[in-house]
Amino acid sequence: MSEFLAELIKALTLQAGYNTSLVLVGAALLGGAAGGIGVFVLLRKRSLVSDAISHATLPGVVLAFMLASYFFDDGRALWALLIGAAFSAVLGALAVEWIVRYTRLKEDAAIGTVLSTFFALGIVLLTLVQSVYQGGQAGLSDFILGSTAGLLYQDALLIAVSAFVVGLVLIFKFKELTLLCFDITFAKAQGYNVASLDRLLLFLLLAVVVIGLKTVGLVLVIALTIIPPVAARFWTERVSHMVLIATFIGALGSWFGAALSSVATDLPTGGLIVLTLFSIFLISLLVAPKRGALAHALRHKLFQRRVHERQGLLAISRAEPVFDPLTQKILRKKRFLRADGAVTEEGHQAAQKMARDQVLWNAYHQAYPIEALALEDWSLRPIEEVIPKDLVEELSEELMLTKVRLVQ
Amino acid sequence: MNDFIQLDFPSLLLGTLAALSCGLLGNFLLLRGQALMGDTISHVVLPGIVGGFLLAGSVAALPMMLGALFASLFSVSLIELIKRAGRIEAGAAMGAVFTTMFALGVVLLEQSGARGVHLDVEHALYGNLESALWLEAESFQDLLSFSKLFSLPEDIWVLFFITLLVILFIVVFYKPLMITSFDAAHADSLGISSKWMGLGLVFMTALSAVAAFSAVGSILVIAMFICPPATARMLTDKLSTQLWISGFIAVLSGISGYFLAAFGPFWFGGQDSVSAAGMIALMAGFLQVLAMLFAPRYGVLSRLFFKNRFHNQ
Amino acid sequence: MSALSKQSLIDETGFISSKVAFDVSGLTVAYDRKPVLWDVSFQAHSGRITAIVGPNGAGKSTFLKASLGLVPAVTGQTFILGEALKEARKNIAYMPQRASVDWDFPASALDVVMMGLYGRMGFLRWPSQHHREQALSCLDQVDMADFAERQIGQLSGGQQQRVFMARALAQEAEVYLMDEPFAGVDAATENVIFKTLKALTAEGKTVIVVHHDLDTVRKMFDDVLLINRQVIANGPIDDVMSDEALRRTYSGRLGFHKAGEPVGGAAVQAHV
Repeated sequence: MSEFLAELIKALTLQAGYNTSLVLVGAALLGGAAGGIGVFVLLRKRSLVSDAISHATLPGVVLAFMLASYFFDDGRALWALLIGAAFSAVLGALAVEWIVRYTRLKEDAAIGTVLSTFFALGIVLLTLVQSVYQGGQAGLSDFILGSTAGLLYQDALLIAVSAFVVGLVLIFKFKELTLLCFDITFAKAQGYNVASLDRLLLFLLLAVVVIGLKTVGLVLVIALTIIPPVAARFWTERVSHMVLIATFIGALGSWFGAALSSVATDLPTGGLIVLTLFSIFLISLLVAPKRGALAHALRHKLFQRRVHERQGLLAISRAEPVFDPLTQKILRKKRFLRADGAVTEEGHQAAQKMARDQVLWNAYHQAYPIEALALEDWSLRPIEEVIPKDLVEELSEELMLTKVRLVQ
Repeated sequence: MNDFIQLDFPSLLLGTLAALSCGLLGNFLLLRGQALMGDTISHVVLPGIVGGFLLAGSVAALPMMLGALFASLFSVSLIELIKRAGRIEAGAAMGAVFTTMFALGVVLLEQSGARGVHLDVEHALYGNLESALWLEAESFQDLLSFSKLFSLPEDIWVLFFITLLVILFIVVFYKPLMITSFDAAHADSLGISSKWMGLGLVFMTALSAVAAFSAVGSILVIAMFICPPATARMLTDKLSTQLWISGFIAVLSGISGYFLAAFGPFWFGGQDSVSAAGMIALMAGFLQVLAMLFAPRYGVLSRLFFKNRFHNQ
Repeated sequence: MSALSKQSLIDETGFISSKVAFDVSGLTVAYDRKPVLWDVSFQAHSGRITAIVGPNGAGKSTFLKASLGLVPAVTGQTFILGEALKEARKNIAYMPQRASVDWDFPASALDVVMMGLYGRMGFLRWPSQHHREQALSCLDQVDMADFAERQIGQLSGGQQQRVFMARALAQEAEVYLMDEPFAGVDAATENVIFKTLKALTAEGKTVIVVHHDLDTVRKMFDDVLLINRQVIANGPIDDVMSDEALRRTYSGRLGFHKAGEPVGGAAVQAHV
């Protein structure tokens, strides 16, 4: 075990040989680029387009292999296979668009149709190739699951460099893409060509998918573009932060996953990278302070209790009985109600205070309706804890005046 | 002819049954905007199947099936949780879960040394339809003999009963399936729970995906959940007709796809057959393309034609 | 609270006009911690047609949905004719917004109306000739009998709305909750739906309508509920539709220091 750890640390710190290090750097660059682009894709609500694109690469890969074997005698040149993959992925993306635009079928059906039909074509071609080039096609099915084991030096370099280029484009087009996802009408009004921006985004996505094919395989490259952005979503509400976080998560997960697989050579790289990414996602889902599930559940519980307490106290102030069992329980816990249901002295006091606060809250709502509704704890907490003191005084003075006026 | 009944007929039957059960259920997934649920489930069953295999220690149908069912229900709940807790859109939540489950399946598979026994990833993706054999059969007359029919492979029987179950499910729950698919809020206001109906549909989807999966692989399952219903959708505006058409298209793709895969290459001078599951899926896609282009009312070309005619008038 | 609210409404003359058919108390709905509806209590009376009026995002649709338990509420209870929601499903006909469904769905107008009968029909029964005739007569009431076999996607917006109306009629409920039935429909449809709703109230049914058009509220409805996340005012239309109440419902930032405006909770509480 300790030997395994030592090996892993060696790999992680780039001391496990030149090739392994290059694979790691390539994987991290790829994961980072995919994570960053994935954020925009997620915000455009088109995450599963990568599902269609990645499955659609298979027939291209196999056809490229057949052509390359015919013309160059060696079908396994990575660049040729990737060009084939890109070519059929573009066709797949176009097909999705065509179906959505010209038929009554919706995007989910279009994606499903394209991914299954293209993939089926790929499988049929693959079995055909297997019978024609006995053995020569070995490695083609690596594109389905990914493998870094047989990666040549120039292949790793190709992946690293292309991922780097994609990342550069992302940085240069950052502002435009943010605008596209944030407010498409505004982007249009500003004179941006929204259609071409969308196409650029699709092109970047396509590039990441194709580059990732060899390392993580066509099923799992989808994860690279989806999981980091979804994980980042839990930590922040801002696009620019989300991109940074997703890039970081994507790079970290891929780095670690690739390092793991360089040590545990019998395990597939893609699988390990995705499982690492998902662990990061799971941690984000649970413990992220802003949108994480635990924080959210806790906040909701607290909110519910406050609402019940408020409603119960208001009922007491109007001398109405409290029926709701949860409300009763909460009031009893706070010693506002006795076990037999009678209101205690503290209960009366709290009810009076709550009723007075409500009048003030209503006055505030009256005067500043927009601000009031945007407040999370509107009318739940004592008013002086939420809004500035001088405003509270102003409100109560105004109320007194009104009362005087009404009496007169 | 003996060859046919012993070698081809069981594969043909298996492929066609798988196509039929998935194709029928796909109608409701499509109408609910959950077409990719089939895609998701067919990926997430992998760790379940491998897990079932590891626990049972053998390639027995039942534990693998239970494992797969568990994996799909677990994944569906996880997707629901991610959607709600993180307010993440459905597509992204599905993508995150199915890729992870698939990754888990792949890792388990390599880890376990299951490779070489019966399970491998290629198998999971495009199945092994051709391995279904009915060596006990001698002639077509055996189709009429009960005792002979019992000797059909277990896979076929399982899939046969699940197809029956799917048909029964659709017939019995036709009304609630229709109303919850059309207007979930209205259904809920009537006391017909769209949530439970949706779960029932997911359960049946998982069941038929699992049964079909081990025989034909995930690619055919995905294709069948989507292509026959989508084809039928292009051809009719009546739900019951849509169900009939999708069933017919599924069977047609099953039969034509198998024949093309098994015999097609020889007509062109090839020496080996190609993947039958892939070919069936490809046929389903091909039929859908035909429908999208030439459907009498909604086809792209007929629309174009009518538009031009109106312009000329 | 609910014990009190179940008694009958006594109007100004002391005449018992109608009974409370739809009774919501203390309904609070929140997304995360931001209130969408805040402690809303409201009663509708049988034989009367009530409009729910308020600006966009005031929580009108959410109020209908939450009162029927279709979206989760933080607090609140609903009684229909004195019965809890669970027992009262058969007495409710809810009509969602037209835009909330996919009209490309493979169904005919008649199929959709038949869905209104499903609640009473039971799971296993297939619709009979009798059910068909019932559905057809509902379509006839909204002048849509000729379109019974038409695919719903080929109907105009107004016709689709009438099909929805016919589906609600088929439910033969006591309380009708309608979300924006007059939104974006033609004049003829508006007329037909309005007449149908009037006929329902004449039979003693209760009709509650989310409405967006302030100009027509006065001439179409008996009662009104003004709502902007909380109840602003509620009661017979002539009492409630004061300029002041409307301003409070629709106001952006009100000038707080304008003289002579009754500010604060007193006026609000009076109606609740």
